[in-house]
Amino acid sequence: MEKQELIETLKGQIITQLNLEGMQPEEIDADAALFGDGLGLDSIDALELIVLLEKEYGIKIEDPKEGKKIFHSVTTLADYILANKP
Amino acid sequence: MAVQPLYITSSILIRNGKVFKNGKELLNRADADSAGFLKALYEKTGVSYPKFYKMDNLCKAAWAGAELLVQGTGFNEIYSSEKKGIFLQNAASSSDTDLKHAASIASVEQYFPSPAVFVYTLPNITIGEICIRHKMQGSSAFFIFEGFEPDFLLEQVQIHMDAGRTDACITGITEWFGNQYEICLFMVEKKAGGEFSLALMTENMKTIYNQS
Repeated sequence: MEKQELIETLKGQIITQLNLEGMQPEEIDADAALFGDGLGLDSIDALELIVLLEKEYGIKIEDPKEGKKIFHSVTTLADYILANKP
Repeated sequence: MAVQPLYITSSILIRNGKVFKNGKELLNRADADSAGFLKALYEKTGVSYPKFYKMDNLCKAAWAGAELLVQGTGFNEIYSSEKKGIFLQNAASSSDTDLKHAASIASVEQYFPSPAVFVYTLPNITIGEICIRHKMQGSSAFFIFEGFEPDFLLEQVQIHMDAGRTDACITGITEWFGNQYEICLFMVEKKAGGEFSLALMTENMKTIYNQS
């Protein structure tokens, strides 16, 4: 899967998995922060993203410290998936 | 300790796709399914609160019920956070969400429990969601009974109000299981309200609860 295609897929999956009602994929800036000032996600959302990675892409995050870097934005998430997808 | 008179100054009844505030019909979406009704209920509050969509059905219905109960009252302006209490009850506890969580871990091959579902596997999370919204930090408790128990709720409210721990509170039943639901909430204060005011008595609580 191409990176851009993956980014668009991820946007849709994030909206569905995190119940971001009323939000459209095009409203998510791929490079904007997912947590804090960006989409304003919380700690439960972070856990949901970890589940999403495992369920949809078969990727387990072994080192929790990596999470902050991996989940910084949709783009960093896509990069991590492409580099680690089994 | 003297037992002081208390008053129901606002009430909400949600059942069968209808909402009644202080006995008057506020919303009728009896035609809608559960999801459609909850969305209509949320829109009726007129509030933008994205967290609503992340709640389970029990919390959505109770949160919206509390929102409609409080609107038009001085609950959040008059009383301090520490003196606002909440005492709820139901029969199904959080079983509606408990079963969803159980289903997500039933298969070894498809073992993907959802953290967002799991956090709602306690009924008192309902209280948490309402307290966050209305900045309530006073006494709170969630009780499980087989059915509506106004006598017990009244006693709890009276004890906390008479002891001075609570100046105003929300009490009632918040139930959601499958497609069956009912929310009946009462705001209780020490002074009689304006347009709507009934003495806090089990008979009055039952009358409001039994409206349909």
